[in-house]
Amino acid sequence: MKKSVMFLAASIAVGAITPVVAHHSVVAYFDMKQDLVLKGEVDEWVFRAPHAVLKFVVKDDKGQLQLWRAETLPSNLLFRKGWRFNTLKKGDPVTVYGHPSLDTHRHAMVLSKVVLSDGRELNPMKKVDKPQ
Amino acid sequence: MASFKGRSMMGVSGMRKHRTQLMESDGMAAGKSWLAAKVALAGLAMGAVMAVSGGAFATQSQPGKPDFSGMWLGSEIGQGPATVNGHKSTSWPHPAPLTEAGKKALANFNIKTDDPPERCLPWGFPRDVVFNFYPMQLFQTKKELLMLFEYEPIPRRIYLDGRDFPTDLPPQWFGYSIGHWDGDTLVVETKNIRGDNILTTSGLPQSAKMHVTERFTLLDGGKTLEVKVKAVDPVYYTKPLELTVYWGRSNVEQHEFVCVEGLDEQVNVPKSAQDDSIAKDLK
Repeated sequence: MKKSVMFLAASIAVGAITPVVAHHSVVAYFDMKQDLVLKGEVDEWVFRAPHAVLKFVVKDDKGQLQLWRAETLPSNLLFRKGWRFNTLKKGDPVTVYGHPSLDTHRHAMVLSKVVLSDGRELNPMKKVDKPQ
Repeated sequence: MASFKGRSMMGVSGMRKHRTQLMESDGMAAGKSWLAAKVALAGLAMGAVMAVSGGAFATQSQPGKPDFSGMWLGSEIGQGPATVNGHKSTSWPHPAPLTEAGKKALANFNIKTDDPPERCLPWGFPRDVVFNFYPMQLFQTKKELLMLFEYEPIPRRIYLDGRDFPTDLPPQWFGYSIGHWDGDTLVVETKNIRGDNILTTSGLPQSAKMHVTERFTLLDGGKTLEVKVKAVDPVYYTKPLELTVYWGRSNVEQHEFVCVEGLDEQVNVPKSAQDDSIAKDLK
């Protein structure tokens, strides 16, 4: 595991609603009133139904590594918006924006957007011009 | 989730066995029908050529009637209300005209346990016809309109051959649908709906006595499909519920959507199936 991962911040704010109208309800599982921003490294990009999941590793303020899961739209809908199975690769540094799980013991969130180290911003609700 | 996985695998092996038995009973596995298979393949190829040259499925629908065959898509997710070629889809009335039983059912609704897709079961009818941000492919013949929803494991069938409703069928995820023509509009009646499913993800109920009428009409020279839906359910609603959904002709592809494959990764599965085991790997 590389040492570049770091825990960025978890801030409370009134977040924009990001409805995930597929498979299951967002509000039943995620606290949409809290914004969460985490910086880490991609562990695995699970590109499939019923929701794609970005697994990534962050280091907490005690230096412990944590594995987080960011759920987003199913791969079918993401594909038509320009995302691919290899859009995110293991080891890629990422900044992940979203809303945390209502179960605070679980390192899970619903994804709002992910920012890559080259500055590319990927938002599951916005279409990109060419496949990423 | 281990036991769930185990059942899935048994299901797959069971299906393989069943398929092998079918092939053997047809004589295919025994290799006797090599020539017959070749002739059949040639016939299929010929049929495909004829279908393409005449417009896919155009020659198979009822003469003089609209052909709904093709790929349809509403608005893409995240792009606001579903407006297609200038036509804006509507939602079920809000607030819903619930009976006392309907109010009680809504109050008792728990999305974590009472919504079938949470366990990768079908969304079912009539929810499917409302979700127009996934592509829907229609195949129309004289006798049947087949609907393939990208995210559903089973197709929906609407019979056009004049049959009546069955009396001995248990409730179905899509109910049982029969259609007839009213001029250029296809009128579809659906009964035999599952009362243990829900009308909306917010928990509005539906009963097995719900009767749905859909009116399918092509607009804008065939570019737009209008579906007017009217649901009558005396158990849960004091008045009929109505909405209209619009779909536009589309050239997108449908892709596989195997819900159970990714279920273990979701936030709605027990935590023990995910974070605990992974935390050990990191230490």
